[in-house]
Parts: sequence; C-alpha cells; structure tokens
Amino acid sequence: MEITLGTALKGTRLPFSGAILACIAAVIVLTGRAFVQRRGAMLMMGGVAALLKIFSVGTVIAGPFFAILIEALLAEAMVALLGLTRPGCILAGMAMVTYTVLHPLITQGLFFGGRIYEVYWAMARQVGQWLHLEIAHLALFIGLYLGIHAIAGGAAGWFASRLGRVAVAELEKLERSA
Amino acid sequence: MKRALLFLAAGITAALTLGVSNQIWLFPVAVAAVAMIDRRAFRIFQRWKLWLFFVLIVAIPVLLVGNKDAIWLGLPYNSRMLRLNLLMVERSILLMLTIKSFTNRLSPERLSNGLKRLHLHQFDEVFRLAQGMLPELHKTVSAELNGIEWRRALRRPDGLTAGLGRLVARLVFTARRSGPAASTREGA
Repeated sequence: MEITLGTALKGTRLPFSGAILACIAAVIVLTGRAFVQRRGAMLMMGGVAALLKIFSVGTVIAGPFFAILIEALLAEAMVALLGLTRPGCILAGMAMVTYTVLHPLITQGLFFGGRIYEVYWAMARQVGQWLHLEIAHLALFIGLYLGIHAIAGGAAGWFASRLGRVAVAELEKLERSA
Repeated sequence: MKRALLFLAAGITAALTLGVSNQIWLFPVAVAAVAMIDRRAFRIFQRWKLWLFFVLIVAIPVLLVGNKDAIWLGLPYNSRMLRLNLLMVERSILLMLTIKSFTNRLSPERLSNGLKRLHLHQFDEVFRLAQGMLPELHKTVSAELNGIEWRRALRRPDGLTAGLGRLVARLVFTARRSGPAASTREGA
C-alpha cells in the first residue's frame, strides 16, 4: 500500500508528500501491529516494505530504503517503551513523521560527507545577514517546522490506535461469518 | 552475490578515500570501473533535478560565501570552496553509482538466498509471502477503496474509520486465507 501510494503521491507533486506518506506509513504500521502482538513485528514490516521498495520500478533505491527501515525502527522503539497504547501510538507517529525532516539531511551527510553541513551553515548565515535575521529566528523556524510534522504524526498515531481497534473487531466479525 | 558485495565494498572505499590529492586519478578510474561493470547504473543521472542540485550545491556557495579570491567570466568566486565542493559532489556520484550498480544485481531470489545464508529464515519467509500475495492484496485494496464514499467519509471521521477498518480487516482476512498457514490447514 505504501509503495503504491508513494508512487502516486510523487506523481501528484504535492508539497510535503514525504510527510504525508510518513503519516500513511504510521497508520499502516501501527494498525498492522494491532494484529501481530509480537515484539519486532513493526521492524519486520518495515524490512519487508523496504525490500519490496527496492524491487518496485522507477524508484531511487538508497533514500526510501533507509527511510522506511529507520521509521520502522523508531516506531518499534516507541511501542516497546510505551506499549501499543494510545500514547505509544501517538509518540510512534510523531517520531516517524518528524524523522522525514531529518532524513534528507542524514542521507546527504552520508553521500556528500560532513562538508555539506558546513555549506548549509555558511549559506544560512549569509542569507540571515542579508535578511537581517539572527540564529534565534532560524531556530524558531526549524522548531515550528518540526512541530508541525510532530503534530501531523501524532494525529496519524492517534488515528491508527482507533483504526487498529475497529479493524480487529471487523476481522472477528468476518471470521465468525466465514 | 559475493562479487556484487566486493564491488560494493570497493566502491564505498574509493568514495571514502577520495581526497584533494588523489581525486585527479581516483575519480575517473572508479567511474570507468563502474562503467565496465554496469552501464545501467548511469541511468540515475538522467534525472535533471539531480544535476540541478549538484550545480546549486557547487555554484551558489562558491559565489556567495567566504573570501572570493578568483574571477571567472567577470564573476568573483571562492576557489578553495569550489575545489572542496567539487570533491563532495564527486564522492556522492561515486557512492550513488556503486549503490545503484549493487542494487541492479540484486533479484528477489538472490536476496532470499542471501537472507537464508544470514540465518534470517523467518524474514525470508515473510518477504516471499509478501511478494507472492502482493497482486491479490492490491486487488482487494483497489476494490475496497473504490467502495468507500470518500466525500461522505471525510465529512464524518467515524465513517472513515469504519470504512478503513473494514478494508484492513478484509486485507488481513484475505492474507490469512491465502497464506501458507491456510494451505497447511487445508492440507491437513
């Protein structure tokens, strides 16, 4: 589902498509966890999704592959800490979606080396000088940006915790009627 | 698989050891080696956005930041930064080519065998199962999504949860019925 929606979202060229996809991934993985009450289940789901992504046509491999794996790892860590409770799901969603902001920076650091951060820092300072902005303004902007992502992720996690319960009840109905 | 892993290790080593002193020979040699091993890897450079990113990352800081000690076509630029930025882009080109060349050699079968060799049997089984069931699940998702009345569902969040809940339940139900556990039960 994530692969199909990911390709479709890329096609729409919507802004924040990475964050939207991470919200969907959070809903899928946390809802899926409601059916598999085992530790490491989300990591396994992430691993399979990442490998399927490798073989899906027309995608650049390294970025999404590691993004899916790391997001699954973060969700697993949060649920391991708080259980598959509502706060656990909300925190897992927040971590997954906030990570989408950091992922390009981490990937670029791996590919270009630590020097890319020096270039970004120098550019930010230069632009700040021209616009008469200080570091505090930049920090505020980054904080706001991360905060919006965290809120969206938290909402996705909250929705997933509800959806999980509804889906489990629906499955029981289906199995009784079969 | 061993050869592919060896090329991957060699490519990553070349990219990591790339420096100002050896880039003149190491970069062309490494790119030529990838070209001999797998020309398809170069297809990643058909994307114009990647080139635009490279140009921006090299040119803009060079023109805007630091001590501009050289001039090109009347434009003052930072020559030290240009050298370092070019090195950074060369390193990323090498890494991208190496990883693309490695993943081009991977196939689901090879990967599955590799996972078995690493004693990740359970993961291998889950991966094979997911791959095998993907077309059927795709059909179920499409049918169920078409069945949801989105406008109504989006106006009433409870309706959306119920609709998606049915979709997830149907998916799990289909997966359980057509998975290996089901065939074992039927066989017994």
